[in-house]
Amino acid sequence: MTKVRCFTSASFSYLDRVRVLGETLHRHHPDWEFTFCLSDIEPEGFVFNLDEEPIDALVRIEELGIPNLDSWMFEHDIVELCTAVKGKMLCRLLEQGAAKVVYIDPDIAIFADLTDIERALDTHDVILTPHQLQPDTNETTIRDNEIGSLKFGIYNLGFVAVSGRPEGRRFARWWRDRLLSFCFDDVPNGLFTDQKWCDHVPAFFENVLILRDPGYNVASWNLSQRPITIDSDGIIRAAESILRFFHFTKVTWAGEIMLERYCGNRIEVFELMYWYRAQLARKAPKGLPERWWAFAHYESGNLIPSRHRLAYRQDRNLRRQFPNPFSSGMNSFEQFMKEREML
Amino acid sequence: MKDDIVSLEHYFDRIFYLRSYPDVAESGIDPLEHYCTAGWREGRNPSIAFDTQFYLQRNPDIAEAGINPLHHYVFAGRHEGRKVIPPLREMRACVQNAFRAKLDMGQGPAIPAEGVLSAERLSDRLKAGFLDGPVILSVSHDDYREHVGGVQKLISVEQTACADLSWNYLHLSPSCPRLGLANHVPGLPVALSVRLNGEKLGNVTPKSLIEAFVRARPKDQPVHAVVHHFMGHAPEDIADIVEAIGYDRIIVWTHDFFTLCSGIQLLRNDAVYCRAPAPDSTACGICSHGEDRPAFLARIGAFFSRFTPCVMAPSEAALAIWLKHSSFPHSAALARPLGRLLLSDSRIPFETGGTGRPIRIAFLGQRAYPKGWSVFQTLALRFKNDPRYEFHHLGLAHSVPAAGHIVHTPVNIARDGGDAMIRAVVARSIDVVINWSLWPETFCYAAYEALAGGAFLLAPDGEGNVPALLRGTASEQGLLLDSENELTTLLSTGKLSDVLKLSNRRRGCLLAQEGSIAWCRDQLADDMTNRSEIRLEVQDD
Repeated sequence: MTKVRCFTSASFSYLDRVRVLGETLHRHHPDWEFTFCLSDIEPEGFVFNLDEEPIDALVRIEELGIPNLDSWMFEHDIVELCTAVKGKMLCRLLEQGAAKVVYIDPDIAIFADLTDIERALDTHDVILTPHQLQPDTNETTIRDNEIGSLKFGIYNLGFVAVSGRPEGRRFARWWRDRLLSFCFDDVPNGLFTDQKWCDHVPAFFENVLILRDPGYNVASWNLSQRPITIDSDGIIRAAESILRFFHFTKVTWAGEIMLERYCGNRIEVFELMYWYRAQLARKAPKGLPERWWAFAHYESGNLIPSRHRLAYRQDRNLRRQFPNPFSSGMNSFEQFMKEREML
Repeated sequence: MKDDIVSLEHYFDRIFYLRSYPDVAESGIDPLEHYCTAGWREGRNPSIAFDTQFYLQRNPDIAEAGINPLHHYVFAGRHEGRKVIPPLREMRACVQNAFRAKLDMGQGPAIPAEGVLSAERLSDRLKAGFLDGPVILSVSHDDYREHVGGVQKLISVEQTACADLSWNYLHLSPSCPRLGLANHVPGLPVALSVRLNGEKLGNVTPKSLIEAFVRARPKDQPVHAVVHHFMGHAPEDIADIVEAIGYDRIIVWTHDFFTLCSGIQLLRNDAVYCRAPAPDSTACGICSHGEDRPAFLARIGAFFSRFTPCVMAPSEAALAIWLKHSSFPHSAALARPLGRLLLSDSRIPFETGGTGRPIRIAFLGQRAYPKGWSVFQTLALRFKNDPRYEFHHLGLAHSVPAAGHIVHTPVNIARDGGDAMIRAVVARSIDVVINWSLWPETFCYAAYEALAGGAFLLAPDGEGNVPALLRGTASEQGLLLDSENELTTLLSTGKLSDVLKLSNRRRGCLLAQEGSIAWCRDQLADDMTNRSEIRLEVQDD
């Protein structure tokens, strides 16, 4: 069987999550090669040693061959950037000869084996998991879930599996190109990072598998239809299917509100959440400053406001005028914005 | 404004507030006034059934507007169906605490503050204390003279039984008690606290203990090892000690399910009975006790493989569960109940109902979630204003807040004697005890005490000692229910009164049993008989 290349994408602030994903993935698939696509740089004094991580390979953003990298990165906030690189990374692995590539979000933990995905890639070229598999009936739930998916995308791009055959590669190239140009959180204009694009996939591509097993990609947005249960043999299920992976989108109390709403008065989903939080606490990177992201600041150390990124993104002339927008001082973009905002 | 206060009063538990916040009680301020002026801003709760911080967190508009959350709930929130406590509050707190405890847990060898004795000094103390008789080497998780509980009670009974026989009772516990097993780190010993015949000798390393014991032991006397509990110990150390001192017999008790999992009650994340699935199961993977379970079982299993001990359980039900889930080698498996219930012949007449006295429903013992305290309190809150029922708690509060209308009678067995709970059940004329343990209890003192006090017992059906008791000897003095809904229905329909009228309630007492000692004595007697027979056969030859 050909080796599956699996990857995730994050900055260092999600390293705890990447570690949980890596560990749980290796537990069930020691044969899969797990690559971390990193959109960040180590802060001074922080050492990232791959040998001590449950990660097989590291690809830094600058290795992806993205033209005008500084300028391109500046257009994106942290979430947009870590999603925008996914298409490029997917193409890179396929170009290296991977026959099967699986992308998994860092805030996912694997609970059972994913061999069915591996097998499905023998006959399908793209595999997607919809946010919901069943219509809801209650108005609040419809607003939370179905209308949420109409806004943010039908398929959850915390997971996508792609074959190395021509149709899989065609999808990867299309997705890469769109993400290089339009990977923004701009719901009013029909965009939601890498995700909303994939609403087009069943129409644009052949051999797409819409995975309808409720055990995959369980999250707050589909819990209403997928109660979590644990039987006396210790098997965890979601809506009667074996739980394959759970997407821990929000781990703060805000995330708990959704669990409270959709737990069906059962404790099991809270057990998953508290287990995950305990894992994150244990795997928190030591010595990493809180909320660290190397591309969050100008060279001066000032935080880059989102309105600066937006202004830069929307004005082609600014991009041309300031090819390195992170720099500070005389004739810098930071200086330019400061003066403009003082007017 | 006065009407507002009257309305709030209905949702405000004065007794709860004053007991939970002693500073308010000391200040002499009216508790409701305190809550309305300062208490809610300080995050205090007006009753066990209303969580101020939760209400404000879930309704940030009310928090921002600076509105008293109880006032908002009474006049608006309750009509809009707003929640006042987190769903599954107690259960979630158990799970969170289980993970917190795991993160905080240190398993390394700890050195007791008072230091350790040398082998010479311990040897001298042992020589001075040893009687010329057999030795019981007893191992448990804490010092039985300083802590209270079922295991400690049995060890005290064993020590007394040994004294009556002029046997020695040498007890070992970890000098620094801890959850789970102690890590076995070569060169860093786990210190043991030693008591001989009830007297504390001091702390010692396993190596020094072996040396001292070999020097001081009574000559030609048998030694029996009784492991009551492995918690806090390195089982490898205990194995080395048992082997080095030359044991004759070895017993391992299953007072709880520690030999199957470090979660002694088999409650996944201290919240849900898990039925001990395979250690590599997904459920164990998300349990605070599960991650280390394979290694934990390997260490316990190595002990069993080395000695093939006799296994003793405090009830047939506990033994059945252990045998079902354990594959450890053992020479025998015996149920040795910790107590025997002796009931009188005279039936207690049912006095409530006709006389107008409400049925007194009680919870006995510690206000702990695994013991079913939350189930009891939820029921008490539901029927708070129902004149047919009165709710009681008999036991120590241990700073766990309770609804103010639950009548609390402090019962301290350590101070007031072993039958204090039975006497309290009688004194309070308790009609019904709810024993809603969430795990299969191995030997539930509270259930026996309830029955001995003449109360009718309500418990969930399932595995464990309590359902077995209600299916057996106490079948006319209790009822097994399938669910909490059934329990609620029993009260709401008034059927509980009919059940009590038809019940055959009797009072009695709980006789303590000798634990391992009687068995060791019988085995020793058999050995001597066999030896005599062999000698006779030799002479015949």
